[in-house]
Amino acid sequence: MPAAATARKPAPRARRAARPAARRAPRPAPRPAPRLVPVAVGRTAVAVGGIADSGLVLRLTRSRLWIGVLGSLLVGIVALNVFALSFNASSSKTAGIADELRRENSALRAQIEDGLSNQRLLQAASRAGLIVPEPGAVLYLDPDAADAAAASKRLRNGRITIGSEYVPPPVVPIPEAPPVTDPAATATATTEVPAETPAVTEAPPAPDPATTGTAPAAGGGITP
Amino acid sequence: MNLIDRRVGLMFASFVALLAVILVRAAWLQAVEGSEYRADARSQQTEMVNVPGVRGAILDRNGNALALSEDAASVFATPYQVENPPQAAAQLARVLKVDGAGLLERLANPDSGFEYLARKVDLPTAEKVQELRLEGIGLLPDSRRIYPEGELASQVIGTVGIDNQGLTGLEASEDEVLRGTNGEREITRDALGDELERDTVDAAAAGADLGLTIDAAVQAATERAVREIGETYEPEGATAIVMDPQTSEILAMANWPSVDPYALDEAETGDLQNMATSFTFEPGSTFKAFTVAGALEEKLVKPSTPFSLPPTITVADRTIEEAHPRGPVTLTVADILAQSSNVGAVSIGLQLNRERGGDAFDRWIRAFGFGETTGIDFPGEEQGIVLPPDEYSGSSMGNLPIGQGLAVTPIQMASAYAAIANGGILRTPKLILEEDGEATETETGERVISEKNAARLREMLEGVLEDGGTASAVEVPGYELAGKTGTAQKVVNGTYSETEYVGSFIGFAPAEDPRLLVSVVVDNPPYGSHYGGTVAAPAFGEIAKFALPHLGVAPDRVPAAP
Repeated sequence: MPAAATARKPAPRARRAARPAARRAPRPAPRPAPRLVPVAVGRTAVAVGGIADSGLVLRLTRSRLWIGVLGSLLVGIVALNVFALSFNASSSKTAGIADELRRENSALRAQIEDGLSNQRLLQAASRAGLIVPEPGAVLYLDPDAADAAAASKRLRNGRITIGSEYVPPPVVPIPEAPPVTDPAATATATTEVPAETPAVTEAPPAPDPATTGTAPAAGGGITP
Repeated sequence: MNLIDRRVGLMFASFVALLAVILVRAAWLQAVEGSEYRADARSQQTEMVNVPGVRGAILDRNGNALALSEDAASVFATPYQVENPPQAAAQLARVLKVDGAGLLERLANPDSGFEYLARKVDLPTAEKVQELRLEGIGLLPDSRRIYPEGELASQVIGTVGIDNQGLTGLEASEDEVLRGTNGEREITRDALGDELERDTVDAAAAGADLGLTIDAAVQAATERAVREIGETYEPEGATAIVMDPQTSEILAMANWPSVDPYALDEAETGDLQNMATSFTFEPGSTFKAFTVAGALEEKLVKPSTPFSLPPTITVADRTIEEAHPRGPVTLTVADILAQSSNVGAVSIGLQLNRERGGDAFDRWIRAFGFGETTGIDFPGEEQGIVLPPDEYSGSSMGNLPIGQGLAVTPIQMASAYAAIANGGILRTPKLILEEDGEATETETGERVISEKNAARLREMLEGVLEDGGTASAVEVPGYELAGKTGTAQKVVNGTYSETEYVGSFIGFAPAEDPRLLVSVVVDNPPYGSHYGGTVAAPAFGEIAKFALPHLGVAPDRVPAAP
């Protein structure tokens, strides 16, 4: 290798020596544009070809460091693939967990909605002794301008405070009905429970059918 | 060349030859047999999984779920892979709580490559199936419809099929909104079956939620009232509509018999229909309000205008009489409505056509929306039957003013009465409040009668629930009520039946500024209890008693002292 490198080195000099002869040749007219490109390409090729023989490249390529560099690169590539696989597996696992959680959420949402269903709430309220108030028993308050002033006065007096905790009224437990053991007890229990007001009175109101019993002249063929 | 050089040369040549063989083999494997091996590897390592797009929920106006979807799984088998079918069938039958013989029949079919063993099982059950670790048994992700309120509004909500496609009701008409888009996922596994990679091929998209105008609590109260009618009178069917007359938003739409959404196979086809929009009937006396409305608008009568009424009135070949025979009487227009006088309503209708042209009555009833669908967002709405004036017979005007000779639907009646209740504006009944969280358009409506005449009608209709009216037994403490009863004979074989009726009641409250309108229609209650005032009006009272305080409607009168 060194011998070859040494032998090649004079080549550029030889080319340089040839140039004056070229300059001496008569030329009809200067045409730089068409010749510039091949010359540049030729010079670049020579320069690139020379890189391989340059001392720096030779020192680098012969260095033992390369063994380590190449080894590291190979290990790195393998490690990269292993990491990629590992990340894929881990991401897949996470996606699986996310899917599982989404499924659980969907089931839990259904359970919550089931628990909050109107029917269950009514049953729970009924067990707690709550009843729907009679329409006339509900008191509606009409707010007016004086209410704000009254509230302000109460705040000043300290009768109400901002942020005071709501104290719920004491809950009176509803005693369970004792088991009926004898007819007398049944009679007592029956009399104590107020009879439910019948929603429908039996007395029929004045009826209003348009009845003649004859066949309808118009629209008689209409089947509802 | 010495011996060592020759050996080195030989070895080199051998290596070159070996390399050439390897290269040729590699080229053969990759170029010629490559596609086959790639396909084999793909089938062994990767798996395409269908990801179901969850169907959107149907919510009431307060966000309570009436129908929603939850994840589920379908259990399938690859029968030829099942090692011991009888044992597998027995194990699966215990977990799936199904008949083992049926399972075995499907598992023991060696020619089949795929059999569903159970569709849409819940996740805990699916997990138990997985824990059995049976060869040839697998799970497919799926979703299933849940109805937290059970039978509530089942005919309105509708049904979905096995592939989660809408079949009836809103599930069908709003299928495009509710339906999710299924996705596909590719899962790569290693030799041990552990998941290495999961790629989404097509992303699944969940369907949008649908918010209804229905109020679940009012719906439940309405269904209780309708069920009570059904259990007490055992009619062929019954329906009730609860509406906010100011906006025409439907708060409840109930039918009897109801349908269990989890047992659709047990329901009769007719029971799946929403009577409120599909039942056509002759309305009878509830229609008299529109006869009076036309006459008021044409300035022919006032509430106090007296009519001298004979016991009967004959129009062409038809004689119309009152429900209860009476002598000649003078009744005001308000009395005619309150007492539901047939002769009086026919007299007003005849006067309307006589003085304003032969099609005046027809114009007015069409203005209230009869003869065409209301346009409610519900599939299969009937339009009723209203004959054009040129097809009237001589006696038509003896029938039409009293609600005979034409057919309407409960929703048409409710919509038209809402116009009277809200001051004269006819709006399309509204059932869908929100789509995917966005409010649907609110219609401004169209004025059909003046505010003054609407108020007059409301006042006249109060008389129906007062002493002497046809629904005087109904009251809601604290509230002034208004409404109208109807008892119409059904047409059987072209003749008005003497034993089959449709009883109905439409009322609203508070009478002066109505916030609640209730329409109750009962199809063919037993003869004797067929009057609208008996069979339908009490249900109105029950519904109003719950709904008025629930909706925060303040009473408009002080309850009478006991």
